[in-house]
Amino acid sequence: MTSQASPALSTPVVSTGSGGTASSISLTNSSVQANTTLTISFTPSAISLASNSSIQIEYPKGTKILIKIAPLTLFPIGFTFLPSQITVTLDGTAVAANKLHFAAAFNFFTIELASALSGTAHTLVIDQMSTPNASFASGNFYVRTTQASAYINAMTFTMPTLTPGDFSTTTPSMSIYPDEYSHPYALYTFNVTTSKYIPSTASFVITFPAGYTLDSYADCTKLINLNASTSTGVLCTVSASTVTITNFKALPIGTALEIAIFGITNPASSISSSSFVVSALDASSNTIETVSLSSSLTGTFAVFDLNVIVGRMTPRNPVVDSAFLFTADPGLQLPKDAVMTVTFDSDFSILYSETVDLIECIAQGGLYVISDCSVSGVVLTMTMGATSNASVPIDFHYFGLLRFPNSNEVLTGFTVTLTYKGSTIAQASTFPTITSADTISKYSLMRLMLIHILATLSDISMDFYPRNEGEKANYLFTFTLATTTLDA
Amino acid sequence: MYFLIRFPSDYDPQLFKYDPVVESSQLTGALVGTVMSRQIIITGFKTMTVTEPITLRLWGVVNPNKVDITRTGTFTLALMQDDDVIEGNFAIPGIIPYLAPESIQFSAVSSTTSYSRYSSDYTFTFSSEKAIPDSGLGGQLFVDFPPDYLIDSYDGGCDINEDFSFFVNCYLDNNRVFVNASNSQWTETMGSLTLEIDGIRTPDDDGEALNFIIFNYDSSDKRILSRTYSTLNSGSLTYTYDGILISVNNDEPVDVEVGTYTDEIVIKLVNASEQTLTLTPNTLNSTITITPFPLTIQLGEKEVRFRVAAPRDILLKSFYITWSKTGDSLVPTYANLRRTNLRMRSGYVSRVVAYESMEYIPAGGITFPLLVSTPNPPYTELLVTLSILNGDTLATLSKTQLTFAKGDFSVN
Repeated sequence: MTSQASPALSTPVVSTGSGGTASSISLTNSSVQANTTLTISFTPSAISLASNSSIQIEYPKGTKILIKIAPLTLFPIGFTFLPSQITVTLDGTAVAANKLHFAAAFNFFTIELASALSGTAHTLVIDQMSTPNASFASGNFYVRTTQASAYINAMTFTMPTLTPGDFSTTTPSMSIYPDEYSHPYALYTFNVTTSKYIPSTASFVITFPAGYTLDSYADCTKLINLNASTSTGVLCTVSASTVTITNFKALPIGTALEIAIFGITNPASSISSSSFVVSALDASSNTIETVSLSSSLTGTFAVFDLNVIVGRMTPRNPVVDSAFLFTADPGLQLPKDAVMTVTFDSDFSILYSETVDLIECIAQGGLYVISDCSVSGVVLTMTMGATSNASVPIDFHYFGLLRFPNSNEVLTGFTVTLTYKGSTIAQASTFPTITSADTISKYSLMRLMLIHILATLSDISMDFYPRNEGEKANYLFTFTLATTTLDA
Repeated sequence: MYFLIRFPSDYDPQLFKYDPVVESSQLTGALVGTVMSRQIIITGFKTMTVTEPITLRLWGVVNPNKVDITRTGTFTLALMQDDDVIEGNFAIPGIIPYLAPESIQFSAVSSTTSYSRYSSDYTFTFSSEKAIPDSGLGGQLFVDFPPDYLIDSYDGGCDINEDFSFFVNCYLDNNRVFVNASNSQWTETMGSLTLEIDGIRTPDDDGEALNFIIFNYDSSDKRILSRTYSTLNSGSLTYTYDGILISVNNDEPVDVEVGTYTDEIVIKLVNASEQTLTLTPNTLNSTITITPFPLTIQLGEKEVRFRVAAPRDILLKSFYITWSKTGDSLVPTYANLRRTNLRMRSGYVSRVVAYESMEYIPAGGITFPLLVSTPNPPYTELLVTLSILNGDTLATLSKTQLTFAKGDFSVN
């Protein structure tokens, strides 16, 4: 008769156990952020236990056996449950609440067995679990059996593939405007509605198909329902094939988003894949939601007419610097960052020794922002500071260094060109003729009278008071006109 | 025709601190100044025969910085027709401004009410290190009310320390209240001054208004000797609403096409009214018609509507309705109403006169009376002439002229 030493039950066993058969694992709903039921089938190996007797195959009744489902670390990251909601069924019998023991970290729990667990197939069903927030590549479930503090079996189950959301709360869509091939400044609009919770650490990534090269002209012009989470504002980062949007507040399910990106050059011809992928990614770049959208192009972009309908200089008399105005009514948008170049008639010379900060370009109407204005020789250059409103004509004013060279001269040589990304996108097919008027003397027919008349003619000035620098003042111009009728 | 005035580059491109104000005693009509890049174009005057010298006054231009004794560049003033100079002076010599004034210490600013939209009396206590000159030698005090205060009328009530000046009255010019006093020179050692200005309405908005500025001015030399600076002493007041807000036209200005009635303008409450309120509109111009008059918001109602009409020859500028509210509880439930800006426009919108369509004329018979109507009745009278096209003599009209009287929506 051989005897076996009893296992040192008071000393914890270091090994994490081995043996047992992991048979199957399934989820009723394998989508991310879903409420799911986890079903695990397993067969523990028989264990032997010596206690003053021969090897026993079965656990004595009354022994507490702890099945640790994924001890310590190993519910795959992202699977969550609430102790108050979870229900556990072992072999068709519900496990009483007082037999479920939850670890402080709540990512595993143990089932205390009331009766012996045989070395045959068993099925564990765990209801009211939640799948992770985003899909990720791998993770395992573990089922371990223990007796006292010793691990006996360890069975590994490969996590079923998780499916990310697809923005399907309402039908996602996209549009391209204008949809012409080679259009240098198209607006791409993407409409998606979240069907999963998107945390504030997430990012939206729009991936353009091969054939697109985005550059620094591209920028997000609409981010509807994306609100900034810090004072920096929602960030829009453009790379050659992707646009990434970050730094927004968390979005609940059902948030209708509109993301519009302006300044994209449409490809010159059809591309093999027209799939634009819109994805929401978590902080670790796992996918929360993704959808593939497509659109098509038709027609080809052509250089269009700026349709300059007004061209004026005020005054037309070559006596003082003239303010220059031209009005363009192209009926199409002029993009932000486009450069308008006006070349004056060759008879002009912008001849000035004064400094450039005296010049000013002002836009009114379909555009209000000029971000840069400079003059060189007979060429005036202005940069559009915003994309214009196509349905409103734009008055471009230039205040600066312009004086008619001669009186009563017809000038026809004005040209206006608009370039974008270095290429011409529009030009004025015609420019109104501007004719100069008579030269008149500086002092003309008008006599200026002061309320307080000063000593010499050269001291004539208008009256102003109070006279301190920086103060708001009245400026009074008193004069006698030779004209007898003032026409309204 | 229009006037073109150009300021030299020493001036700010916007020229004015706030909105341009252009006035002239010789020109008629509401003058409008449009500023662009140191240039102002003056329009809005009516056709007239020129018989005397004309003065154009621009108020609110900010003087340029003083650069030692260097004059600014030259000014231009021209009478223009389209792009042509009719006549002008293109070499008006530049000016040399004075140095900025010294500072006055504000020790107290108060208003008898801290509620918005009430008439109030304002008290300013201050002390100027720089002496205030004798009024006979040009000494004058004035106070700038910031643009939060919309002052369309002021009856001149004011007061100051008796030993400064026994008699005093004040007058208003574009939010600047001038003090007419008879004072000897007042130095700092003689004590601080307390100036009270009565009967000016508090701002229409709540919150902190911009700063008051008090000036010690030498009108003979045209030099401000000293003034308060908001960066050194705060001189602003804060106001709150004393009740629930009632909005007129969503607090937006109303554009009035002169000669016609406007569309209905809505006065709205967010929740049903807890009182029966009578609203009496008052403009400073008796030719402006408001109908119905006065307006009543019944208990439980949330809105009431009215229309405005102005004669064709009214000045094309803004007129403000000041609303009087009666019928409210003793401690007001509702705040006074914000003033409503009526912007007089001519040729802004076209008014429609339409005739009722008829399906047929019974052969040998007469149609039902047909209405000619307009959604915007005329201010005085509107004469409509009817005729049948193509001179068809088979059908005739009972009337070829219809007259709309003031306020008529339809005539048949």
